[in-house]
Amino acid sequence: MLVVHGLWLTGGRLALWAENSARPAPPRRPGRPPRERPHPFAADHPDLADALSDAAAKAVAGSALLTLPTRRGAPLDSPELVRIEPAAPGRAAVTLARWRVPTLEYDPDEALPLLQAFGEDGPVRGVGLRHLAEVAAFASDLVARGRTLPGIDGDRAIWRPLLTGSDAAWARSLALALPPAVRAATPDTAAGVLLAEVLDTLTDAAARAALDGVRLVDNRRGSGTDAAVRAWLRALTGRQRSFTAAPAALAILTNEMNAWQRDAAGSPVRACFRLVEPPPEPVDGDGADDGWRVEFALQAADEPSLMVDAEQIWATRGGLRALARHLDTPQETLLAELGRASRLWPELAEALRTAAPAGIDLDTEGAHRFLRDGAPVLHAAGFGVLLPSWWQRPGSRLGARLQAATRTAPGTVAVRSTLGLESLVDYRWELALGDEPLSVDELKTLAKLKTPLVRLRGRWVELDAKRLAAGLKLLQSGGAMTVGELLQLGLSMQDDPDALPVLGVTADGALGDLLAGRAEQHLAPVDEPPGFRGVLRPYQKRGLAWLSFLQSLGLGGILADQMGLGKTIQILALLAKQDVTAGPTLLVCPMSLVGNWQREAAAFTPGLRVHVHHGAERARGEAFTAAASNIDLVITTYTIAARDAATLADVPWHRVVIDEAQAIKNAATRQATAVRSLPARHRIAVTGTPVENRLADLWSIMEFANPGLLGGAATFRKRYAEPIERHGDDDAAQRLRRITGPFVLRRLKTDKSIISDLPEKLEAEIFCTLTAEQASLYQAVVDDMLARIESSDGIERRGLVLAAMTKLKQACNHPAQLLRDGSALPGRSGKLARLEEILDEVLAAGEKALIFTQYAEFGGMLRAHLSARTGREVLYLHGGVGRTDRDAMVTRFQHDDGPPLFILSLKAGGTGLNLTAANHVVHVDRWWNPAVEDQATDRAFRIGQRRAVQVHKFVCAGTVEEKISEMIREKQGLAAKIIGSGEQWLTELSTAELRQLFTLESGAVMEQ
Amino acid sequence: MSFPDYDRPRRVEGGLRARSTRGPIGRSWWSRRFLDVLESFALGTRLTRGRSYARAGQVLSLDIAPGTVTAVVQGSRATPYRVAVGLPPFPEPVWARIEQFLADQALYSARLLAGDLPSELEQVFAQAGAPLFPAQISELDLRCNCPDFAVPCKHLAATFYLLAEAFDADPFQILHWRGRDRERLLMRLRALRTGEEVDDTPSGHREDSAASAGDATADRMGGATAAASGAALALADLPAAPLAEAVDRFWLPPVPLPARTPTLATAPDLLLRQLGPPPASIGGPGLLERLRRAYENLRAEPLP
Repeated sequence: MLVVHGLWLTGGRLALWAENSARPAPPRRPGRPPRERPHPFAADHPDLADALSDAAAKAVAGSALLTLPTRRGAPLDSPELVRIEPAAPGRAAVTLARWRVPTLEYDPDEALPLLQAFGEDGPVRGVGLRHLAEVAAFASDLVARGRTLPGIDGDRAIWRPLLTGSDAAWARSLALALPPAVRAATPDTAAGVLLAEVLDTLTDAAARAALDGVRLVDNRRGSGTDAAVRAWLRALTGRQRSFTAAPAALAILTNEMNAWQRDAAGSPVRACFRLVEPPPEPVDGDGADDGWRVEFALQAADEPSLMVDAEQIWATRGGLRALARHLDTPQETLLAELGRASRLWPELAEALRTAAPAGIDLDTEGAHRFLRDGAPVLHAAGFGVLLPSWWQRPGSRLGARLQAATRTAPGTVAVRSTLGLESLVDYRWELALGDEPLSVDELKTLAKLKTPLVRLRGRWVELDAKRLAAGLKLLQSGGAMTVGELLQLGLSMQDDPDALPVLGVTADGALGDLLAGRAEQHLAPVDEPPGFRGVLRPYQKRGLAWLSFLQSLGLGGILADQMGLGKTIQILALLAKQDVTAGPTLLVCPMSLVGNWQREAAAFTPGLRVHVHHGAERARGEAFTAAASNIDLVITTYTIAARDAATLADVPWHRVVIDEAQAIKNAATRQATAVRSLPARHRIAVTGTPVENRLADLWSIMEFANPGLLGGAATFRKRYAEPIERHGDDDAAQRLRRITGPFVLRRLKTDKSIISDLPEKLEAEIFCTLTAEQASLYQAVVDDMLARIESSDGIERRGLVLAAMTKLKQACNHPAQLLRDGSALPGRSGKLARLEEILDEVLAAGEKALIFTQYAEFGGMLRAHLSARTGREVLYLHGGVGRTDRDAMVTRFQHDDGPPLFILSLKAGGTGLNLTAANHVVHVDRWWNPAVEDQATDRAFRIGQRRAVQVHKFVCAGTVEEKISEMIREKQGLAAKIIGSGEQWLTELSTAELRQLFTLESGAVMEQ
Repeated sequence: MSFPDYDRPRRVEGGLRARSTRGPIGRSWWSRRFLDVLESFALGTRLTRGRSYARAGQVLSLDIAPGTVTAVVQGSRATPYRVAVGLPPFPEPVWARIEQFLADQALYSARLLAGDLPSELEQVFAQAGAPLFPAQISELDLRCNCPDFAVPCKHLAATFYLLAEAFDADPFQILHWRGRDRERLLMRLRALRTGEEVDDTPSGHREDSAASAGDATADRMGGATAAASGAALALADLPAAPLAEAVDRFWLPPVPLPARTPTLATAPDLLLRQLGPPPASIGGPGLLERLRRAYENLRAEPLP
């Protein structure tokens, strides 16, 4: 296995090198290392090129001398490197030493796409390389926003980033968080200097990539400075950066260019423009039109609260004490700043026709022009701008509200909601300002004013004449429409910019609750249906009611309850509730969850006819269609759903449920398109990840649940994702919440309504499936070991039984643990897949987890894999860790900003420690001793823990793990025996009993 | 016998070179206004040669003082010629009137300090009875100690061109020639604004500070300038973290990367609008248009 690391070389080149776990760490040698030695376990060029596959083609092979942490004459492993034998604990001091490694080097134009293309699939990457990818993304973003300036660097044309405001802050954050490993080839270069070089180089590459094929100037040559300018312009696009020009002309070009661009970043002391509203009561009757004012001030750019009004500046002769640190001629600075600002906002010039202008008086239209046009440009150019708080706030805009009333047929008593999409509702429109409805008279008065800003009930409102006219027309309408039309109108995206925004749709009864996103709280909870064996908690009954209600309306939903709140149970209860004749439900989930669903369905809804659609022998075409009609629940995986899309689409599904719905977050993948195209009357997406925070994911999942609700992907991105994620647009975020709210049910363990009936410790057995590779290894171990056990006795037999047990458990954990071959981890173990899913949710929620294993080597593999996968530090406590180091780990983990994942070997970490920062505990493999496991669990679940602790105990379905787990549950006596003896009791079983215990049951394997 | 006037001029190292190397010299209306006076005389080859002198760096020095511009121009003879362009400075009462006009409207100072000469300024001077630009060449006292009988000679013409460029770079220089240097003018305007007594003895400190205040143009005249962009500007003062202090967290970020704060939505060509056209010497508005094409292409189309 290779871990690829990134370096930045002086001269603007990216270099990749890798550690290779197949190459052994050298024997430890005491003493000082020589000045330079070959790195003992760095990947050679062929291996490195192999790991990078296509990306290696554009690289140049080289080597680099790295400064690396070294202990006893050997470089230390990076945390991502997986070794079979965990490194022996070292007590010797760590120093820096120089090691030569083979590298692949990339020019900036190759480095940029390479860094952007690294996805989850490629080789394992070190944190440093991920960090460089983050810088590359920033460079592209700067270029796309035009925050770059063309310049000259010696004889090269270059696009440099212009960093102001939050961009400068982000660049500093990137520099401060730069992993030292990126500087290994340039140890004497400070992090800030190196990051500046990386960002400059990548910004230049990003601009050239964006300008691919663009020519700024023709090939005519020109003479003197003109020739230099032309050569420079040619060198600003394409790959050729250097250009030739006469030295004198080049000097002129450089100086003039720099002087021209000097003001781009703004001055340390800048002009600030503050819009002041007219006084609350107009002085003369209807003079509400006037009295706006933009006041001038000087402001320290690095300390915006330090502000001096223009009036004060004009009244002071010398320096100003408040800004003394920054300047001593405030009047001239203010004048120069105003002169510059007047280029961007020409109206300003007129205000400067007095001797000591302190502001500009504006009428209402002028104020609106300033708000709409002047202020954004001035702000973006680095001037200070202070606007009244109501501007850009949704409450200050005129919008329409739709009010609907459900009809009750005359003479009948509405017992229960029989609302369907075709039901008629009466509706009327009203116009409102934020939350306040407006009367027709008020509206007519407003229409007469013909100004873009009006004061209404003491508040200023932006009023668009076209929209107001549209609104007045809307008021004329009214009547009846169907629930379907109502939802379409009230909730779908609007594309017409001239239309009045729909601020809200209100209705009475259950429909109103749905629209307000309150349905779950107001619907009558639904009790356990007859076919359901189990007890639903109150919030689960409400969830069931919500799901049923959406279904009755023919709408899809996203059940996004936090992990541990029982999403599976709610879905099963919904299935049990349905009419047998309704038709089959298709459940699509990751391979790792199939076994879980199967078992939960058997436990909670034994009456359901469940079929798992997988394996090479699975039915296809008409055979499947026919079979499906006699089944209530078909379980399949995303992979099969994509592969058998045509077969699955032929079944008239009553319902399609997708579990771990973030699997289709990338809307363009085959899986996502296949799942979306399945015909169904009712669609439910289940996920524990907070989808509402990742808008592209939200779109893809909602497109499955309620196709078309969020509009097309491109429109959605432009109207919501970009404004919200990039520019922090609260208005858009609120609109999006209103539209999606009715269809997303997410409850947290911290909700007051939940916590009251939630136990403090939630234990769950997580059933994992074996991969085909795991299953064949497992089978081989069973065959081999049973044969040997059969022909042995006494102490030898005992030893063989325990060895067999260990090997089987290793096969259940991961093939690489059993084989000890240092092979790659991803995609080969059902447990690992499930662990990744759980930890993704834990990290997304900002929580922390403890991961227990009894195998030190597996802990090491997990640490490497998880730190590579998450890019976060993963702590690992095993028997070789000294006391001081252990205490330091515990302290760091308990700290709020500390690492979120902590792997512990059961022996080293099972007792004594206080790890209450975690509220998740995962037992990856089992000791079969509840007392030992509970003791480990209690590291998190103890005094000081304020949240409910979620305990996940992994069991491989159909294997010895599940069978022992069952035996312990059913036979209390056995449990007592185990507590005393660990796995010793196994050795007393007969060979026939062992065979039964070890044999792999069908259904344990899942083809992927 | 030799005709030194028609000989090639001696090559000069380190002379003042016109920064424009092609086409007309003078980008702004004010330097054009000034050169128009010279060019209206249609001096033919002398004008052309003067321009190439200016571009070749034959002018060794240029000094602007109230009433007189003096220059040293290297011709074909060993000793450079001394050139002087005289224009009577405005008398104090005229300046007092002008200053009152200027002080009454902050716009003039604002534009001047931002590097522009507002076009109305010409009317202000005319109103005060003191035209800013000479109407005819005869108003100028032109001197050159070269043997050429014609006035203006090519040395004078070269001086004119460099003078126009100096005005381009810093419009305060015109006013200086007409009798008010930048520091004194700013000080008097400040005094008029605040209604205080004019302190006419320029103190060294105040001159320094006035020269540095918001001055975008001061060192355009010479010396290497630093780039106005580049990540190093924002990352200059970060604490140095030597590698040796990071051995225990070598592979990981020293501090976690915080969440990124939102950025402003801006039009991609905002920077070009903010900067205005570059100097004519490097392409002026034409260059701006070419760069605008580049900026239009920078904006990535949102992915579907």
